[in-house]
Amino acid sequence: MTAELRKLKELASRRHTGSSDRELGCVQLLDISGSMGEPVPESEHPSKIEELNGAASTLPQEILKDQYAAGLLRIATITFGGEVKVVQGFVPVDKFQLPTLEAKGHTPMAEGILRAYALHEEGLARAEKRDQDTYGPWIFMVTDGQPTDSAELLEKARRRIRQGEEDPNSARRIAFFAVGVEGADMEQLAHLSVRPPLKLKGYDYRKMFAWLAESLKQVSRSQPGDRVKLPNTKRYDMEL
Amino acid sequence: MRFFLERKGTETSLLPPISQGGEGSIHPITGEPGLVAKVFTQPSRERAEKLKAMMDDPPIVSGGTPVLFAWPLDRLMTASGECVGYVMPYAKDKVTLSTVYDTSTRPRWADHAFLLLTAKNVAVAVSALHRHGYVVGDLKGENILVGPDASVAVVDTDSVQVRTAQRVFRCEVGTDDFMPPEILQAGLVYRDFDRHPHHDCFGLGVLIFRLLMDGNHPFAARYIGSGARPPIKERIIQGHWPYSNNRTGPVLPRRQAPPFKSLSSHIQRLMRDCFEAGHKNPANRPTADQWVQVLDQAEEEWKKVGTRLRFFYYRALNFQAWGQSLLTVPERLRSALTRVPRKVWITVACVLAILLLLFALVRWPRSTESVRPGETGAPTTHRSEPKGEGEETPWLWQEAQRLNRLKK
Repeated sequence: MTAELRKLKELASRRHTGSSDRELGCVQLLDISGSMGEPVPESEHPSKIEELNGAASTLPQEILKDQYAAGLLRIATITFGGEVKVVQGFVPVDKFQLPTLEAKGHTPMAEGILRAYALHEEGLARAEKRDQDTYGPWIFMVTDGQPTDSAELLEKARRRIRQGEEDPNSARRIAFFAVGVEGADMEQLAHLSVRPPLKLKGYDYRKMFAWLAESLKQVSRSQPGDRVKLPNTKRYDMEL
Repeated sequence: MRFFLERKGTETSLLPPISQGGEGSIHPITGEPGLVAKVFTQPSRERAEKLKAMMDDPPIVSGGTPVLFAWPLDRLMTASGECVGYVMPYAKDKVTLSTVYDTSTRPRWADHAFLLLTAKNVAVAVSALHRHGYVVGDLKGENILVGPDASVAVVDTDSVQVRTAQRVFRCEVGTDDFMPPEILQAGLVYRDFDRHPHHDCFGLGVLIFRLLMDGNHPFAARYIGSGARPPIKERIIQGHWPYSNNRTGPVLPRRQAPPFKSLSSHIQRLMRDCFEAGHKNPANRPTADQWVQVLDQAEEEWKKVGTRLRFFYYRALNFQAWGQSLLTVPERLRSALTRVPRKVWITVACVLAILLLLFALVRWPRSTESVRPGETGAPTTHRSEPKGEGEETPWLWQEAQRLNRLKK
């Protein structure tokens, strides 16, 4: 009975998800450590985390403007602050919904990074089961502080990022972007990631998410495996 | 800024843009609801000349097929005489072809007949462009719009390749999904080479395939080789077409895709020509005209098969001779019957009537006794009977007797 039921459910899910023959996964890795609770100068929001909460819906809103990209994208969210938590697994953009995040604890950045890669592995395996072609997935990390992990774990994360960026198979090449907000340790970020980290001027997370949405749209327009020219970061108040 | 229409020679005023792209913005025109204007972000001399060439030879569709081209009708000039855009018909109330072929966005009422008709109209549009010497170049689901009556509009026409006596205005864009293997393999930059109609034919094949196969790309596949799956581009270049009768590579059709055999056999033939035979030799790819013809045929076939039988016709029995002949039995019977002359019908009817009468007059079987026990149990004496026994008496005779008795 249960086996039959499972089969039926699988069939139903296939019908639902099987329409698109390709997929683009993106994990956003958000820093919600204690320092995010600090107040922001000259803003209506009392703290950085409030800014982030207010801006979180920008990403789905921007992407839903482009029906084609919305059909391909699957977004997952992981937060790290005190502990690493998968807030939401891979979902289509219109199902994207974040709870109100609260700032707390230390910054287990490396642990979060490794968790994001594990999540991508799962996603890629699932896409393989559905016979979907995948674009090289993305990880987008936003942080405002320094990692509190051990040096060993950080080195492991650094190696994982390198390995992901240099995968010979372009469909499994995971792009890692790090965005440092005011107060982030940019040198540490540059050491971690292959791509130069982006620095967000001020605390306007909206602009940052708009840039992410625009970049993802560009990727969805391209072919899996192609090099994509990303939108100019200057226009979104960020700099390399 | 003031704009003038070159041919009409009047000044025109543009409303705020309804859409904005990388190449330019689309503006409605005051007082002209059927037209829109495209204003380039980077106008150039070459573009102006290309527009002129296009305006001189617009594509024409024959036979009343509902196809609209967002073709330049007039050039938009500034006061200084520089061409900064053009005016074209506005494709209203239409959605992109990709929303129709993608099952998650396809409207519910869009059935197979609608998809066939849409595919045919797309082929008609491409055929008209080819007849006039144009090559679409960037043929893709987003550049074609579909209306609820399966009418088709080709938009973004300023990117088509225009060939004049003096020169070729190249198409500078393209989408890899719809590009034939020879272009992908060469890895050329889109603006660096001339396009040919057989490049379009590949893209047209992909579009029609996606329309009829629930949005699946013909080269989207289940990968059964070792290691990770190669990207779709690689499969197109290698010609690993999963629906081929011969194993072309480590690929099988997607498990989510509808069965290829669910298509009409004529369509299947053209698909094979397009993706299998046309892989090495582009000349084998079916032309737009061939597509029109075959899709027409498929539409006829689809209409002919009764609604209830369609499912079986296309899903299971297709391509099997007995299945097809079985389904045509009612059709053949009816046509045979209509050929029988009226005289024969009348004779048959008369014979049937006589037979019925005779049947009523012959002896009724034994079982009727139990229905009328009174008559058999107490035989009457005042009327001479043939055998004196109820069981021997014909049924009609007995009835007559009973009626007589009632009268008395």
